[in-house]
Amino acid sequence: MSNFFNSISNLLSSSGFAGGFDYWLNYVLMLIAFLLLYFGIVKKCEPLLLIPIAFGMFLANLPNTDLMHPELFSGDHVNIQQLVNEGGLLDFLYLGVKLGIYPPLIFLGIGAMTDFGPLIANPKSLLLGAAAQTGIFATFIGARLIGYTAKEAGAVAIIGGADGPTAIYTAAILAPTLLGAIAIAAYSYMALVPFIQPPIMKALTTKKEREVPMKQLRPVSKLEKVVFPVVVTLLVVLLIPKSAPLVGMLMFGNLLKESGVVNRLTKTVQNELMNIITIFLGITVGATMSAEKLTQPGYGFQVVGIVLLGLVSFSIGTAFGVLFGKILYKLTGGKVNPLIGSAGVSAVPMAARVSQKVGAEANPRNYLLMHAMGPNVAGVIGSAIAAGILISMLQ
Amino acid sequence: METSSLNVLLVGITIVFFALILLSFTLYLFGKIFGRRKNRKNNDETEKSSDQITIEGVPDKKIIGSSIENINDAELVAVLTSAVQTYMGREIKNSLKVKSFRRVDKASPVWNTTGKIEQISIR
Repeated sequence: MSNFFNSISNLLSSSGFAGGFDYWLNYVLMLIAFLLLYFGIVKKCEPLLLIPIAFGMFLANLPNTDLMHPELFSGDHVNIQQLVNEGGLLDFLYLGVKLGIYPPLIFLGIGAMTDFGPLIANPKSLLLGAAAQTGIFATFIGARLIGYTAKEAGAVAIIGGADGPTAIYTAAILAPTLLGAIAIAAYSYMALVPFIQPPIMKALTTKKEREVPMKQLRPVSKLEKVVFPVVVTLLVVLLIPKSAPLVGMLMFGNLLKESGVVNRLTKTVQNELMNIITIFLGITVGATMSAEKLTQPGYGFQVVGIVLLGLVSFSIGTAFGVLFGKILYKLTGGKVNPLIGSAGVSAVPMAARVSQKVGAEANPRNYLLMHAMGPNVAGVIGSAIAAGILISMLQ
Repeated sequence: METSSLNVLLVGITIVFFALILLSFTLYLFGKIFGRRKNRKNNDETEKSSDQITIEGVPDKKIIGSSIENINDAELVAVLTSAVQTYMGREIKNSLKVKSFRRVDKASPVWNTTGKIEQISIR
């Protein structure tokens, strides 16, 4: 009988109830996790990622779970022996983030789901995609000025690309300690695109410019669509080899789709593979937001900085996209609606929808969606290139 | 510090623009090359079809055209009848007969239609 009571008492003493939380911040982070769950489930803000991220955050802050040990990944190198001996479930899954495996695989799925037709039909869109990346580099300077190291500044600035996988990939390489906060900020801003962009778009354009209808895009042949991913990979990877994992996988996915002869593979990367990776990526990224890390001196300040700088970066990107759209409006004699420029920040297809919506508000007969998809997908390529440049220059 | 940050800013923007302008130019060439190929292909096809007419020895091109149109018309009438029937329900099953039809030009381009559908679905 005493054995029974001893066992029960041992179990109770090792339970979370007895141990309690190590830090008061555990409570705060769990509350944030619940808030994110609320936004994901009730408000449907990027639920596919926000729910796994929030649940990962919730799990990582429960006491005595041994699911995740951020200290195993704190150095530049991962000690595999130590990981095998001490690692928990989320540690092993986190390897996919740490080693930069998940984001390129997500890009593979995105490539297989993206139609680059509007971009091929209107190559000028690429310039808008480039202009919107200005926010990334401008924020880099801002982040450096307020005290972030060069690597951290690069990782924070990439939020302006409004591309979750790119932000995670860059942060995992340049500033792994900030990964969780950067990922959450990036996905939150992507979800907030419909609120952040319209005021900037309206402030920078006149009603006359917003009303401009655009000419129908030319039809794109299958051959062009098949050659496109090969040519993009060739040119971009030769120019910026460090962008190869992201651009290469994006274009590989697109080639699978456009070739039309490997439907089984296309369906797998679009659905099963993408969903599995999204689950792994979300839950492990969320789990990096543990209280242990937040209690490190200066970390709280860094997180606040990430949230603010992310917003600045995103806003500058939107503004430059619209301003470049205005330049194209002038150069083409009023044939380009500047609103499509804001879609140059990635956030596919949300940013393109915002262009459509703001355009339709000014002129109900205005249908900008397909025109905005051009800069939108150009933004995906642009932010992958920007990430490659930051990694090349700062790593 | 500031010099190196400025360096990242300038190099970054320059390379992003350079890469995307290069791609844009390549795509522009794409349009030219593939557009020309398509035109040539269309021309070849028109030549071939006119050759066929002479080989078959049918002097009046219009006759072939109208006979093909007639075959298509029969199919089209069948498709239209079934579409109207499906749309109106079962009660008029045997009383429906398509006597004539007329092609109505598309009022708006296909992208506009896509945009409209998108608009409706998000409201």
